[in-house]
Amino acid sequence: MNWLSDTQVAFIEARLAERGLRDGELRNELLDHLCCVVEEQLAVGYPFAQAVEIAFALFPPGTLKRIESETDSITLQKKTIMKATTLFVFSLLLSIPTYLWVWQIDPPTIAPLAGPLHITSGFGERMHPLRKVKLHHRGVDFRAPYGTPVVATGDGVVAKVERQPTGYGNRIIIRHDEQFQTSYGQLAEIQVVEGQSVKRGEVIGTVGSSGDSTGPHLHYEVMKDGQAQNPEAYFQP
Amino acid sequence: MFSNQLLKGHLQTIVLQLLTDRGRMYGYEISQAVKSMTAEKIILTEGALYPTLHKLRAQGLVRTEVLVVGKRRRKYYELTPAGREASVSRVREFFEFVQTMQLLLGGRGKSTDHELA
Repeated sequence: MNWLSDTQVAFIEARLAERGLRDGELRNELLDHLCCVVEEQLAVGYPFAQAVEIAFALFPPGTLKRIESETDSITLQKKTIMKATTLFVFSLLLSIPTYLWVWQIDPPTIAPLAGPLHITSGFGERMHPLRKVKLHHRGVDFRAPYGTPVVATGDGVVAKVERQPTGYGNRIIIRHDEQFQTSYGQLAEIQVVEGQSVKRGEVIGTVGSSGDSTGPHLHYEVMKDGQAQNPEAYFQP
Repeated sequence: MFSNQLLKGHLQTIVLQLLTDRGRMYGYEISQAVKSMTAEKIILTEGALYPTLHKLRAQGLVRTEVLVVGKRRRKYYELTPAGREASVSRVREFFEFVQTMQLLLGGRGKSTDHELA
């Protein structure tokens, strides 16, 4: 079989374009189809012009555009599905930080000392035992024997370790999540370092009297968004 | 020649089975093969063939490859592994359908003949 010349192919393609078919994958495919038919007709003796008419007769009016719109909608459906899938995966990825954040809300839930609790000074207004003035007490004091283990009241990360001869004395601050921090003051020993992850119930130090203090006790604070809370609301006494 | 109505549900099966038998084919080749194999009783019109091919591709049952033949770009169709599986199951399904249709339309007469004989 003789191949069509470039001019002949161009002629057929121009006819296809005339029928309103967009340039692209489908038009190339149908062009090849038409050329095959024309070549076949030439081989059995038809002149070119007539062979082209026979080839285009295979596509009655409207057929070419219908094929185009049908294949368009098929590929469009596929694209839409892919788009929807991509969007879904993307939104899932976007929401991961939210999940993590929600999951990370982890307020303190237990008492900082194991065993019986002796609260010697509660949260709120009180007479300061050393300064002898009314001051707001930001936490709760637990009396306990020197060396009693102190535990983390929730999962978190050690945000700060301080060692001072006055004030809070040896002190640990644990960050539990975006909202909650707890503070453990007047410690004898500190058994964690800054940046360390701790689990609820894990021993972090021991009771002492390292700062402004009249005897061995634990000064425990709960902070929510930086505001001191009544710690007694965060454990079952 | 069979009506388009009758053929409609089987176009994909026909194309899948042809590609199973012959491997890689292009559109015109497929239409010619169907024509000659069925002594022109089934004409796969161009208007039906190409949407069917594109649908099969969208379903992942065939893949395409464009080869430059002379000055033209010729698109070849070939079964994917999923297409091979679909071909087997659809041909099987078709024969089951034919057998069932025979029960309804023609099989009863024949089996009665057989019982009488």
